[in-house]
Amino acid sequence: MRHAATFARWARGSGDWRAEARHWTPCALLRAAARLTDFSVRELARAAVRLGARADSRRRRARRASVFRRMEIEDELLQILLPADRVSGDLSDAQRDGNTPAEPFSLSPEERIDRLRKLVATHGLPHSANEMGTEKFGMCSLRGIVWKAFLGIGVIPVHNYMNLVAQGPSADAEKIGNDTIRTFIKNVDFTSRVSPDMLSRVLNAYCHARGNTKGTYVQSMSILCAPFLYLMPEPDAFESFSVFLECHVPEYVNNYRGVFSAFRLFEECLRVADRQLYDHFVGYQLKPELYAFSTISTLNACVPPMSDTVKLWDVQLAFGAYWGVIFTLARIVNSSALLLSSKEGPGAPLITRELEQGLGMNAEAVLKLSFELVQQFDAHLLQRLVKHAIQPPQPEDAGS
Amino acid sequence: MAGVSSSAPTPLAKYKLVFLGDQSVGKTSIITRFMYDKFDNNYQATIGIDFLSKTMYLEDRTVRLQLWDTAGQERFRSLIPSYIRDSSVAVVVYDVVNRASFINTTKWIEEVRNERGNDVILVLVGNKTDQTEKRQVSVEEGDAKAKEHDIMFIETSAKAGFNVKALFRKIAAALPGMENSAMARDTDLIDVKLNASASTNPTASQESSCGC
Ligand SMILES: Nc1nc2c(ncn2[C@@H]2O[C@H](COP(=O)(O)OP(=O)(O)OP(=O)(O)O)[C@@H](O)[C@H]2O)c(=O)[nH]1
Ligand SMILES: [Mg+2]
Repeated sequence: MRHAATFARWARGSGDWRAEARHWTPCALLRAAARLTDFSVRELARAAVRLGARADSRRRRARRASVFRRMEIEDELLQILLPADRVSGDLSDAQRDGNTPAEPFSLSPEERIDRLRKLVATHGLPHSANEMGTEKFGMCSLRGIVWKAFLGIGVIPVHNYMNLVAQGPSADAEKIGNDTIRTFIKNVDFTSRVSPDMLSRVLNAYCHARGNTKGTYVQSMSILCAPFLYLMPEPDAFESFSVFLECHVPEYVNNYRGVFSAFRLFEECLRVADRQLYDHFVGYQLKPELYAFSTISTLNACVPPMSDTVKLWDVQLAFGAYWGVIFTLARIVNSSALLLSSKEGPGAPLITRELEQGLGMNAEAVLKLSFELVQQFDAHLLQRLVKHAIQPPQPEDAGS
Repeated sequence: MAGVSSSAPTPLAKYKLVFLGDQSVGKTSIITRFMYDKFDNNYQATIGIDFLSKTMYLEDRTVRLQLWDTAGQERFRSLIPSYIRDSSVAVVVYDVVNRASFINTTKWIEEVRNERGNDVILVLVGNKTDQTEKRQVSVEEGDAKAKEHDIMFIETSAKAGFNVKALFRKIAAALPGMENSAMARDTDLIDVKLNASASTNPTASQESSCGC
């Protein structure tokens, strides 16, 4: 497999952590995730309930505690992450720190990932996590570093990216250009951090890396690439985006097969979570492939603002892309009363654009409700959710 | 599909309209002009499909329109037939400034015929007429193509707001059950009335409101 070669590059380095990094390959991660999923989901849900109960008082205390909390969490993160990710994608950083001998970790890679997961699920990352170019974390934002850990990415081979960029426009350059100039163009927070040129370079590099055959780029990939560039320097974003597509959502990208599996799973989840709304939609022949295509196929990345998207992606990257389905579900279930009371007669009580605007829920609210909802799903449904974005549908996956 | 009885008031009749056409021809712009009377120079490309619904208050009845705004992107193309299958109206849009998009309408029309045969209302729309300098496809060509396929034709500019309401009036007039209505006979007249009534007579207004 292609990414095997990509990650074989790690082995070239020396030192403890590099050897260890081999255990961090996405495939190993995915295997670990598959093993852990049932357990972690339940545990995650329990943690979430505790978290939810505290949410209100937390807000009140937030101001007082935020400085403390931030330091605490950052310290824990540093403990988990460094020195492995000390070397950021920045070339000068890489040169400066590249030869620093890595300190041995007291925790195994699995334990470290697990602690990271828990941290993300129970506390969330600190507010400052999107800042890039900080003294503590270097070029890459803290959130970017955490994402790379979830993706199993250690040292970024900067030259690899630079060589790909040096090859100039790819065979899909025109298609890429059409998309990049239209990607989140009205989101100032996004455009102030990411330019169409950056998106274009990363996406063209992606095509070159995969042999530059026409059609490697498919439209809307720019949207999936955007969150990475929002948080990371280009080489890191390139590497993360590539691993993400190949290992986390291959079924969403190569074709829309996984997205359609997601629609069926979404309906099953809705049926469990809100039978009345489910029946209502069935009565109106309102299907997720009509109203939720953009939110589900982009794993909620199309719902602004980007600062909220990345909080949702923390959990998606930590536990699996299937959370994207649950987040969309949370938004719809939350608006259930409104949707059911629609006096509009036999028509559609829901339109895509409202969903794309988040239906009035911010990331925190979505996460809180999602953690509650996920507890209602049985193991069989959860298993199929977990697999749908990474594996072709299996015969035994047919709806129960 | 809801048939319509002649006695008013009838329950809301529901119609599904699918918008087809190459990327960037202006499908989303036309719909946004119709729904919200807005235009933007920088729309994001539609991802897959955008679903909207709108209640149209006509002279003698009210209809519910479900608008399916599909993405022109190639990647989505293999999924289009399943969306066409469920629709009663197909609006095929091209960009008068982009000849390739005009040529490709043949494929879109065929795609609709394959799925729906003659059991569908087909409209060919040439958009972006405001760009007079750069025009690559003439009205006559558009009209000829529509005649050749025996479908309706209209030119619009979503940017200028030109003929967008007229397009939807035309569609409404052709909906099943509309043959005998005043609408069908006086489409042009009503389009004129529409502008006059919008501000002065809200109850008879042709402006529709979306209750979503
Ligand atoms: N001058 C002019 N520009 C227009 C008109 N209609 C749309 N545009 C512009 O053309 C571009 C594409 O418009 P969209 O409405 O997004 O096109 P679309 O057909 O929905 O594209 P996809 O969603 O990618 O299939 C936008 O930049 C619009 O501002 C028009 O009538 N005149
Ligand atoms: Mg569009």
